[in-house]
Amino acid sequence: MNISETRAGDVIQIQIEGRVDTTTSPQLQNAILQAFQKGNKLVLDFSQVAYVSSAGLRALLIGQKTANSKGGSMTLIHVPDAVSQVFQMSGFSGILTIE
Amino acid sequence: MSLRRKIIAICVGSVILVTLTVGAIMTVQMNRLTDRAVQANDEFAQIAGDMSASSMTEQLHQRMLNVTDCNARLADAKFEELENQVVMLANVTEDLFSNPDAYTPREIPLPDAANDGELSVQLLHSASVTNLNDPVVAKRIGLLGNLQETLYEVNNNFENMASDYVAVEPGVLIQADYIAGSKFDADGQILPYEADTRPWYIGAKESGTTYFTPVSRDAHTEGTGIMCGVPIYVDDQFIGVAGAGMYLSNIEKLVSDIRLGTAGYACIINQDGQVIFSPKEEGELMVSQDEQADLRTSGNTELGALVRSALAGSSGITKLEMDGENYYIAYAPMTTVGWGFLTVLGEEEVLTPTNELLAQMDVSAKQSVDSMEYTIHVSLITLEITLVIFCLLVALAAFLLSSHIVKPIQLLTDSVSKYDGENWDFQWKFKSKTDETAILAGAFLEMTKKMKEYIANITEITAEKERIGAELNVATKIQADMLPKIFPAFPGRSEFDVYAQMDPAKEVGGDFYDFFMIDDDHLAIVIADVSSKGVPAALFMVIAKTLIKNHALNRESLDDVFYKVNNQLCEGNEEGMFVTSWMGVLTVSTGSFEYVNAGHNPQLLMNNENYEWIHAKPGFVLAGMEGIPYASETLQLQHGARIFLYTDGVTEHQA
Repeated sequence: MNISETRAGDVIQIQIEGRVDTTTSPQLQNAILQAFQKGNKLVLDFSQVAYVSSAGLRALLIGQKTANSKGGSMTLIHVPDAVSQVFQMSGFSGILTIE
Repeated sequence: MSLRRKIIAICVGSVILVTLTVGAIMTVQMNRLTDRAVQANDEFAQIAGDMSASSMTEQLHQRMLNVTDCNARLADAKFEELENQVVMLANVTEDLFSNPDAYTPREIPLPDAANDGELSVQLLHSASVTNLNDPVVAKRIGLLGNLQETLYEVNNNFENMASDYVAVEPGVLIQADYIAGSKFDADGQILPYEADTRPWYIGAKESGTTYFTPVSRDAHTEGTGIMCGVPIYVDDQFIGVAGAGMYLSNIEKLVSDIRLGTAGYACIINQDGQVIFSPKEEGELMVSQDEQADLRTSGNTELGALVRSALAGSSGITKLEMDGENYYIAYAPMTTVGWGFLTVLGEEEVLTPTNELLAQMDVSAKQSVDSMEYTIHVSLITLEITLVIFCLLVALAAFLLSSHIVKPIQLLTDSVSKYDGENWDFQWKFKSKTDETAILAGAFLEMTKKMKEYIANITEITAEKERIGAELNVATKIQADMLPKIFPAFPGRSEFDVYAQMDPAKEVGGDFYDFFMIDDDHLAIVIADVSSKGVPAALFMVIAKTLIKNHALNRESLDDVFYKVNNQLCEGNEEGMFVTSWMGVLTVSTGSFEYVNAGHNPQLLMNNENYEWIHAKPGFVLAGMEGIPYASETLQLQHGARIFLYTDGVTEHQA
């Protein structure tokens, strides 16, 4: 998995590429938490994400909770169908902001 | 090569190099010095020899001249004396005959054999005088008679005089001699004496002055002799000859007594160039045997010239070749008789002292050179020995020094060698604190200390890890033990069967399953996945499993079970862990199957030979957020239906 970060104004966009599973999720979690150190508005580009495991979900959950507690936002964009299905199944679509 | 050997090799090598260089230089210098000394000695000897030779030759010349001159005079003096005596006799006779009236006639005795051997004076006369009483003859005899005492005394007082006599014309002679007995013939008659046939008489009469006869053998004594005659004139009228004969044994002795060096000798040459006295029995200067021989015209022109000079009254010294060898010949005249006196010395002998001196000087020089060479030789040997000793000392010093240097290194090496896996105590007891080995040892000591600490740490950490590992094993065991794994699980029930298996990816996983009978008619099955791994996940899993089972056993509805479990798990869930879970309850009697999903994977159902996804309304994961409502669904199972539950560990592993 590769993660790259770009910044447009006060919005931090994180580009995720590859599989988000048990092995790689701590990396995503760190990226999200570090991004929230810099700003409140976070956009996660999921266009290149092939798979999200439960560990990946946890990273997203922690991110969402951080956003909630900081009064910021974490928006997922370009979520592929397969990943979207996982969000659906796991009920994460109910708590995540997906565009 | 060991360090010690290297040090020794370097030290000894350097010293040997220096030694050889010094030795070579000194040897060369000393040899050069020796050559110089030899050369100087040779030069000195040459110069000294030359000087000595010339000086000695000069001295010898002088000496030879002196000897020659003295002896010539000495020899000549005998003749001069003889001449003086004869002249005196002539004068007396002249006086007698000039004043015949002034003297009384005296008789002269005839020879008397009884007087033989004693000096006696007698009258002799020629055969032509037949009458002694003839007045003229008698008168002359009477005058001559006055000479008796004179003749006697002259003869008696003159050493080596054989006879002295006065002969007057015509044919009478008065003579003093020792041989009266020889004047007679066999018959006892007195022999006539023909004075005017004698050489001394003829010579004096003809020359008109003093005349010396050639040397002759004396008829009576076999000795060599010479006679001197002096003519007597009265009124310019020749009347007779006075004469004397002298043995030359004195002069012969004089000549033969002269010894120059070992082979040097003297000789006398008469006015005719004949050698009359010489100790030589052969060679050019032996006594002349031939009456005609004349050295003045000798084939040896140099010798001839020399003899001519000597007989002409000159003296000097000449070096010439004679009989095939070189001689120095000094010559001086004997003026009275017109002879020459020669002294002869071989050049060899002249040079002998010089040569001896030169030889001595050579020996001395050689000795001094030898001595110098010996000294130099000894010096060189001393030097060599010194250098060898020096080398040995340096080798020893190098050995000791290297030992001193190497010993700590060896000790260090030994100590380090002892330092192995068994023995962790590094020993260093060498006393020096400042040298590099001590510093190295210090560093090593420090390192071993740190290593010991490090090993202790590692041991501790390993022990801790092992302890944790053991504990984890226990935890894994506990976790595994918490999952029902005795199959068949419900041996008494024929209506259904359950099988489950878990292979955790790590020692302690977060996945779990559970099945239990809520009551006789209700079978609950649970599958869940804690969104974490390791011990926290395991603990979380234990809690989740316990809560789910507890709430289920309370016969609460499935919605309520998940609702309550969710809320309880959310309490104090600082780690943000969550659990995806799927739970179903089978009513055994009816085959009705109620299920609820908290974010878990879709499960599979095989009702009519085919597996299909069990549709479930997705609910949010447990422990994600508080107050999440869950909605259960129900489906009817056919006889023989199968439900397949799994966690994403299976799909992740597959992927």
